[in-house]
Amino acid sequence: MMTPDDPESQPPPMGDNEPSSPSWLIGEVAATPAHAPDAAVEKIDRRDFLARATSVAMGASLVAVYGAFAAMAGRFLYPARPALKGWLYVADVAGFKRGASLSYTAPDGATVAIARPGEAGKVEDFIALSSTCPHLGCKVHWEGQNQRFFCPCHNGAFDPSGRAIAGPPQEAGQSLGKYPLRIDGGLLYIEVPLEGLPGPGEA
Amino acid sequence: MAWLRERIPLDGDQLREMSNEPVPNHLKRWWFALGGTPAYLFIVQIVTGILLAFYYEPSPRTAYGSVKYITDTAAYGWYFRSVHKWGATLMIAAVILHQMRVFFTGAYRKPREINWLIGMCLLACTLGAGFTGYSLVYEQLSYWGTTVGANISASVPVVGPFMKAMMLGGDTYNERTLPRLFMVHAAILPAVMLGLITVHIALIRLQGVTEFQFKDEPADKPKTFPFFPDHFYTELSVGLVLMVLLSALATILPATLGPHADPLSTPEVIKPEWFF
Ligand code: HEM
Ligand code: FES
Repeated sequence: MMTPDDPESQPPPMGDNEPSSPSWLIGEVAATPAHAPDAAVEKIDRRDFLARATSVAMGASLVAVYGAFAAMAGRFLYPARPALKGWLYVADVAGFKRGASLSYTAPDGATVAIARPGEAGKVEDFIALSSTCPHLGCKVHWEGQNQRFFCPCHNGAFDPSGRAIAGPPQEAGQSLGKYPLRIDGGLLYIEVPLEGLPGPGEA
Repeated sequence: MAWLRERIPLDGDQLREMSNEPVPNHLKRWWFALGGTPAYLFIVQIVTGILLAFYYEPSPRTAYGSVKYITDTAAYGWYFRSVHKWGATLMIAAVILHQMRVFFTGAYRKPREINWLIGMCLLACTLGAGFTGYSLVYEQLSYWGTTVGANISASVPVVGPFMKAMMLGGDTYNERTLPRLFMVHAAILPAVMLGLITVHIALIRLQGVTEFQFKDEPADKPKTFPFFPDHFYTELSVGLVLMVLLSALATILPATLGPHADPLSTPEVIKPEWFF
């Protein structure tokens, strides 16, 4: 922003009695005729000071008003909150035998592979694997004949426990994400996002 | 600086030359600054409109919900929506006041007839933006206002039915109506207005503003003052005052949201926006 006391921004004098600083800002002072020579010197000083003060005030208001506006716009554009999550029922623990697995579809359409590798019937014996590849986010799918999850994007592969065994995810030592599970009154629950984009079949 | 200078061959003197149109003294009177007000509000509408368009979803199934999201959920969404709405209201008022001052001071006379016509087109576009903008909210009155508006256009002889079909994208209000109104509101009208405003200002600079001598001014006083910094500072202050005014209005009287549009029942009280 240019200010009136910035030498770059001074306009060429337009006429003899044209004040070179914005006269509307300091109109009264500028218009006051100087009576004595030394009073005139003082007037110039005061005029100078007032011009400077008004530019500072102007600069401050510009920054305050448009700065606040820009900050609000930034907050407005930043996503409001993470997607809503909730606990949903999956299966009866008693009916979910060791070694069994099922494919669960969350409300946001994501497929979750849920398996029971352990015996005891505690939460730790169940596993719920995300179908989102930890590499760059493509969807993996289960390959029964190879006993692995496969990601078509860069040929990533994961064993049944979700550990990467091939491709970029293995090089990076990644695993498939896990969803939180909970057992309550003999029933298995999973915490999943409640909203998302529908697939072509839904909507 | 030197790096920039080499690539953009412009120096301070040239810039001053370009921007330093001498401004007639009468512009120090506030009612002559009414032309700058719609221009500033136009920029406010573009900025807030672009922000709203980040969340607005133009389809009958999503429009109302997205405006509700803007109003209730998005951070400061109520503020930007209300500023957009009050900006539209003040803009229409400012254009009309500007036009009245031009009319009553006779400034539309030769050689400024073309600019008067351009101004008329700008008024029409502003009203059009107000009308299409309100349709987008898809509350009861948006829907019925649009329907009634389309049927009024349809009553124009010969071209009426064509106009209505173009407006609604079909014989009646349908799935494809809102996207169409949105494009007109957010792309076509702003682009046309930007062009008209450019020509409007170019003509003012070519012809100069009609000069007036006021009785209470000494005749030998210089008739103009430099655009920069004097008038530029005035405009900056006007902008700040308008921004504060818009924010105050938005806070005290925020934009509301009526009931969702229902194509099967017309509300008891149906009135258009105040400017119609
Ligand atoms: C050029 C001058 C403009 C005027 C006079 C204007 C006027 C309006 C009005 C009166 C509304 C209804 C407000 C409400 O009741 O909530 C509205 C809504 C809307 N406008 Fe504009 N507008 C303008 C420019 C723009 C531009 C340039 C954009 C986008 C690029 C835009 C995007 C929107 C959107 C998305 C809505 C619907 C959301 C809402 O109502 O909150 N507008 N406009
Ligand atoms: S995204 Fe799955 S391997 Fe790259």
